[in-house]
Amino acid sequence: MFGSIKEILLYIAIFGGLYFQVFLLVSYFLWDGITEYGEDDVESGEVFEPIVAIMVPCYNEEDTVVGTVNSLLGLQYPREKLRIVVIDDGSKDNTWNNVQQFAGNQSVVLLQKPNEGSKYSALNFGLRHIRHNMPAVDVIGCLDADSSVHPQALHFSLREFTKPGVMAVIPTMVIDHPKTFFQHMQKVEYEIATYAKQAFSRLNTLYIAPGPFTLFKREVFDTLGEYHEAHHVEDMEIALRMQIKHMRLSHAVESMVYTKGPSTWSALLKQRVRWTYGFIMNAWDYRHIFFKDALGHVAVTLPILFGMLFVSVVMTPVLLISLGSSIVHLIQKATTIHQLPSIPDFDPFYINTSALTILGIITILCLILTLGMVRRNMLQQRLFSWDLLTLTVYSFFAAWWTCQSAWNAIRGKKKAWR
Amino acid sequence: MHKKNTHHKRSIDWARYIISFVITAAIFGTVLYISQVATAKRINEIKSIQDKIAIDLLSSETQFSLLASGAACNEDGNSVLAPEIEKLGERLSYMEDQLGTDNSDVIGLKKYYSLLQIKDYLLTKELSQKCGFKTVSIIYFYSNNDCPECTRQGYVLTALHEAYPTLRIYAFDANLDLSAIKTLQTVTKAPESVPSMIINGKVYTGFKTLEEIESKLPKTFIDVAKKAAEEAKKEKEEEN
Repeated sequence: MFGSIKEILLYIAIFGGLYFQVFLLVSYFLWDGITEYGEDDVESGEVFEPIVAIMVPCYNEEDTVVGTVNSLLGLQYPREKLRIVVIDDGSKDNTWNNVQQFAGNQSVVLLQKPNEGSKYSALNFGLRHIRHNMPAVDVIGCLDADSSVHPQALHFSLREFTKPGVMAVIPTMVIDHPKTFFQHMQKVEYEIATYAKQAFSRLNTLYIAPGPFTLFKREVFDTLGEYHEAHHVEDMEIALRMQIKHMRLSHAVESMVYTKGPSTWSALLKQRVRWTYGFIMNAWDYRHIFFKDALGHVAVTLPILFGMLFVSVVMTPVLLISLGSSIVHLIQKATTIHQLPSIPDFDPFYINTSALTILGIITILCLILTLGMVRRNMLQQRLFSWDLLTLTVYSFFAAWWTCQSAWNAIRGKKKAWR
Repeated sequence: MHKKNTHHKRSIDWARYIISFVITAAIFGTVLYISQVATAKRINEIKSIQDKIAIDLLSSETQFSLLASGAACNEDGNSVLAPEIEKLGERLSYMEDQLGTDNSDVIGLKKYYSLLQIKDYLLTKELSQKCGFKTVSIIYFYSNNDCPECTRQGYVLTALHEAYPTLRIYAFDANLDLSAIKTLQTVTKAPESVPSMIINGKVYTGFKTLEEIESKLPKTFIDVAKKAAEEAKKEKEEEN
């Protein structure tokens, strides 16, 4: 009984995973460059050089904040058109002291506020300052204090605004000098995300405007108002509000932003549970847009991703039980005969040709091909490196934080009902 | 100056979803088909091995009847079939893992295999009586349902066979609906409970460790088998 349920669930999960990849590939290749706004003129000679304000909210970032601000000052952009607004969100460490070195800088504004427990309040604090004191600012962005930008990032991001209807531009995120296993795993993950962002961008279905270096036209905040708390993922919520108002988000693939990425499992788990929990809660809050024809593809991809999350929640225990029982069998075998089981000679008869195995391999190959394409065409990197191997275990870690987030979401709902 | 946000009419372009679905379904269909073909091929392979063994067995039996007495006592009669039957057994148990114990193809093949084993057992017994060959055999009754001891016993017997390749192990699924197996159980006085083993004619019930089974094998057999295994190992090393 367990066996057949397991098989059915596995088929559903693999079908879902493969379908999603095929869908992205089909959109990428068959509808190459064609968006809801017609064919994008990427090589447009138009120059868009507005006054840009970048907010840097920081809470206890004494080690990284100076580097972040320095990278912004290193942007290849007319200095008189750049404003950097550092918002110390009530840090308890030396963040405020450390940023004082920029006090005399014409381009840098230093602000301080008491901490209110969520990033959105720091962002709104900065927004209010910009909207009241900097009327000439046309584009507003944000950069987390643990990230830094490529000198040409702003140039590439602004160029994206010349495409019709673009109101916000998201960058390509890169893990900066990965050292630990988990950072290498995130590096590969971010590469796949780059491809997904590009595909989603062409579909006009981007549903997150990430904290690091997303740029918004000032109009966005004039129309939508400030950031919301949004279960600590204000960057997803604002993107959804933009989608509802038909404001186009676009991905500038060449605009590189470097972020450290959590180095340990516990730090990564904490970050991902926050993100995934936020995704679930916001998708649920915005469920009224699911399959609404007038909103285009975002109304389909969001529920699909939401649904896939739940398939993975169900799949994880199933796969873990199955993996656990194979390990138990192996241990049992070794302890019964008091020696390691011998490796049988190769015989083509024993090549596993079960449909599930072949489909699993096809799905993984598809993923590796995609990754190869991202590395060669978008990131100009070597095609193969050892960190590709992290893909084999990634799903287990991802399933862990997904399950934990789903559990939190269910528990959170109960609390809200009481 | 940059373009203003013009409100474009958006709608869900279902063609992409449908095309992607068709492609995914096509991949699924193709894989399922390939997998089916591969399984059918393997079942046929097993069937053809079984047929070959059946012919060989029949041939040996016929030869034996024709020449009566010890005239058919050549060394071949003792060892030709054993490796074939073992190969078959391994393949069959793999297919059982893949397709499940209640697959009708698997059940059919297992019945045929069980009959071949019994025939081989009888022929070997007759040969060793008439020609004086010293063969050692283990008849093993197991079940695939609710018998964790059987799983462990299976590991032990596999390891035992690796250590003593000349040892003949006949394994029977006691739950298989085959009267010949029931008769074999009666004739060998095997108990109803599994796992049970008949080692050189003596009945043993319950799980037995590798060492326990070894202690029940004739000492001369162990010495000869160990020597043969060492020689085989040396030969293999030299080949490499």
